[in-house]
Amino acid sequence: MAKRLSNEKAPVAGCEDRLSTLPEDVILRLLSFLPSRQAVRTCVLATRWRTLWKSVPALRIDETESETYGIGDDLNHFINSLLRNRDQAPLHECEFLIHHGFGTKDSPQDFELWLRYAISCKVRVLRFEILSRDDYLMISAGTLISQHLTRLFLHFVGIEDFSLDVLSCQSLEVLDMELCIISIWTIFPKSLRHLRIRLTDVYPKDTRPLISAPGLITLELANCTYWTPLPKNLPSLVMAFINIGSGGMQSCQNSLSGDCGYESCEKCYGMDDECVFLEGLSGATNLQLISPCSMECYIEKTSEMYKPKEQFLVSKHLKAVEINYVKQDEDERIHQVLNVFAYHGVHPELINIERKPFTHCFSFEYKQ
Amino acid sequence: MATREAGKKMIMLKSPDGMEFEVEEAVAMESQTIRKMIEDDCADTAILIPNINSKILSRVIEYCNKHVPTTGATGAAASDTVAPAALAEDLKIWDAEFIKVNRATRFNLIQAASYLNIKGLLDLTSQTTIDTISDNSLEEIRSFLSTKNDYLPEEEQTIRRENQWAFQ
Repeated sequence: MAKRLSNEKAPVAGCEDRLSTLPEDVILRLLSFLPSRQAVRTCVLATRWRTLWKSVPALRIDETESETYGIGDDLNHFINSLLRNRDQAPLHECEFLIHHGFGTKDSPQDFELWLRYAISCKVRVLRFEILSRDDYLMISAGTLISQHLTRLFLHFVGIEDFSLDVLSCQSLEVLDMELCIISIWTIFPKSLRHLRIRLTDVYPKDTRPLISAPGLITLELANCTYWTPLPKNLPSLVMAFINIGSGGMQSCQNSLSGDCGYESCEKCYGMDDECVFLEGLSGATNLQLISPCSMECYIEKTSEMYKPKEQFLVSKHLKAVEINYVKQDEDERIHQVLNVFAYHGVHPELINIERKPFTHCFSFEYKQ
Repeated sequence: MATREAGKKMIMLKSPDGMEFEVEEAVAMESQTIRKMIEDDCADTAILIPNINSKILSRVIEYCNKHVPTTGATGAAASDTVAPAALAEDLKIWDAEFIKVNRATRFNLIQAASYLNIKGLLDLTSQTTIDTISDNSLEEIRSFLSTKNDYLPEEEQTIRRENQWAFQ
């Protein structure tokens, strides 16, 4: 005998008025994918729609909003009216993609007010992107602290005192920052699964920031300025992509070549163990490292004076190594790289060497 | 692809037009509505899904089959699985193909996802609906939802005035 699911609220096939077949939360979910201006305008569809928009669980100000309706006062007026008139209904998602032209009247206070509003509505997914490239938008520290936030995307945003207090965001799973100014000084919350930091000024300038994130599964660090943060405690890491870029982990402000002459300089001479960078990535089964210049110095130095305390944990997991290079006459350098791998017990049969013509980078990849 | 292990618990789903679908319990439990039924100890019997015809139900099962987590509870068994980012990308491509259906089918999928409480499918169908409403005009939304305008003309004017800031 088949059990029957309750007929209550079951969809009725072939009904003329489709609207009446959907529960209100489903309609609100549907409306939440509309840009906010369009969502508000549904108030004129029919009497049932008059105030539906006020409970839509999303705010969406996308780039077409500022393209179509202008930036500055007009946009501010719209967003402020929207926030004033909607219910304080909880937000699943909030998206502000805003052209913030230099010299316009929009003020950081407004932006901060909107962010605080979203946080007060327990927003879970927050995307805040400034699309102009004139200046960073600075917001005060503490604006983004929330226990409800699960995904945070920031673009062209600076945090005052550079401190993004992510540890207080106990539910944060995804943190994605591009072209930002931040300081990394604390461990990340246990909930964090995916971390991506690109083209970002990483502070403090004088000490190497460490990344400690017990639950992190994927890590992407690309082209950071001042420092590429050092992976320190990442026991759950599966995949990492690191592009050291011109900021360089091994070059300090006194030298672009990676050797400033001061042995106490951590940037040029490393910490106790030169391989500390790779050690932090030792759990990853899929690892990609790219460097235009710094890695060359790193490899050279590594092979000459390198006395590791123990083998890379990395090497125990490796099933295949691909070394890609671009320039001709790289034999000597590749020989050094192979020596390093040999030292760590990576069997030469696992290593595939290939010259690739299309990129200017010297890079090498690990693949499982 | 992982082979189906012997001893996996199967559930029978029946559509009102008499078709029966045998699915793994884990797949069926992608639906929060069915999950609740199973957890309330109705698991050993077949479940009749009212008002979702076999055509739509089979598509829903296809979706759940693809989206059921393949790894263990922690996702740590990554030994020979693809990296998470690649897996997500693969799912995205699959979703895009899956949702290439006509408007009526998509609406039926929204209803089914709503009734069976499958969040991923509801988001996919809703997002696609909004994406396909060109320039998101009111008339397009009205026609998709077959909504009749029951305002008196003066009422509609009042509403527009109330929310003038959104009609500028």
